[in-house]
Amino acid sequence: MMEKNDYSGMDEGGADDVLLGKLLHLKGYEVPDASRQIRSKQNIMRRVRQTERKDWSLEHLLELHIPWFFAEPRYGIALLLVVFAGLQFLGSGKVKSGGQGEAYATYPTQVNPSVSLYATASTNQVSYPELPEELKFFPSPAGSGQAIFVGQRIETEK
Amino acid sequence: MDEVDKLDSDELGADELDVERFDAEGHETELDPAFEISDEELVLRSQQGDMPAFEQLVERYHGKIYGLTYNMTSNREDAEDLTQEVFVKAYEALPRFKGKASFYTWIYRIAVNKTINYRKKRNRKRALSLDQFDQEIKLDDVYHELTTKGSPLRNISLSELQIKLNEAMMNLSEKHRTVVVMHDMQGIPHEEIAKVVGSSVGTIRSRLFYARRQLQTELMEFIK
Repeated sequence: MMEKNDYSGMDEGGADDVLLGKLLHLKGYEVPDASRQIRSKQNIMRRVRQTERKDWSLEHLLELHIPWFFAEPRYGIALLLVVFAGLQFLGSGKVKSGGQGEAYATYPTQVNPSVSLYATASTNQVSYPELPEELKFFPSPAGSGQAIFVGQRIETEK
Repeated sequence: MDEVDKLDSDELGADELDVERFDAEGHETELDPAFEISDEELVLRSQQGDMPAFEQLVERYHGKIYGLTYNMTSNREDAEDLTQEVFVKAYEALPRFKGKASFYTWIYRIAVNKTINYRKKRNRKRALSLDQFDQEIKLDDVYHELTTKGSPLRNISLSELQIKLNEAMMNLSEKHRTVVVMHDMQGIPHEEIAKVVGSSVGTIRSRLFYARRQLQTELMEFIK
């Protein structure tokens, strides 16, 4: 913006030029919206980084695909909070179901199939752990309840 | 090669002189103390891939380039697009910038070329999309003078005045509007405008003279 009452040499042409200078001086009071200017600068840097970077990092991919997240961080943070709250809500539902339905957990088997074999001193016989008749090691790829056996029980004479 | 095409080159000619930043009166100024790093240093760093250095250049010149493109188009959306294009173009061309001219002159030249070409490709009669007047205008002596009793402006609203001014500007040719914006609105001296647009100082003065005559005709109701 020009200094007040300075019209950059417009007095060369007389009174009309001075008046014209004053009108143009008023035009200098047109100011852009500050938030738009901030976004504009952010967009420039985003585009410049796209031009520059060949090795895309996660941060730059996010910035490319969800630029509003970076242009308006408060919305991004709000979204994260909503997502976090949603996940918490879903998680609490699972716990309340008491492990029913589709709840899945990893827990140790009652009889550990990998228990070490050892020989007792009294009989000199190898003692095997007691295993159930149908020991399910892995879920069936077919999705049925059929068990896959990966070992064979050896009956030993007593 | 017409003048616009001539201005399209990214690298300025060897005869370009260094140009410092100017104050509102068009006088050369020392570097602002807030700008501890010179343009030359920032350009050098940017050429070496230092992104924060280029970001500082964007921060430093964004307002001036936006002001130029806005007053050339009277359309803030176009001005925003153009400002982005200018800086992206500058970044791409930076490796070819050898510092024979100042960054200021160089990026102004890109901005002028981009704006003129942009308006050539698009419909010249784009609707106005104007920035709001700062409310401080009502504290300005000139505004008071022009809106007091006896002034032609006393019965016109600010928004009407704004539209009239911008329409008058848009009725100028691109070349004439360029010199009016750079000289009468941004306070850039004739010599520097001549370097930016690649014309002689005499040509710039002549364009300014005719542009003002046309504006006076357009704004007759306020001036007479």
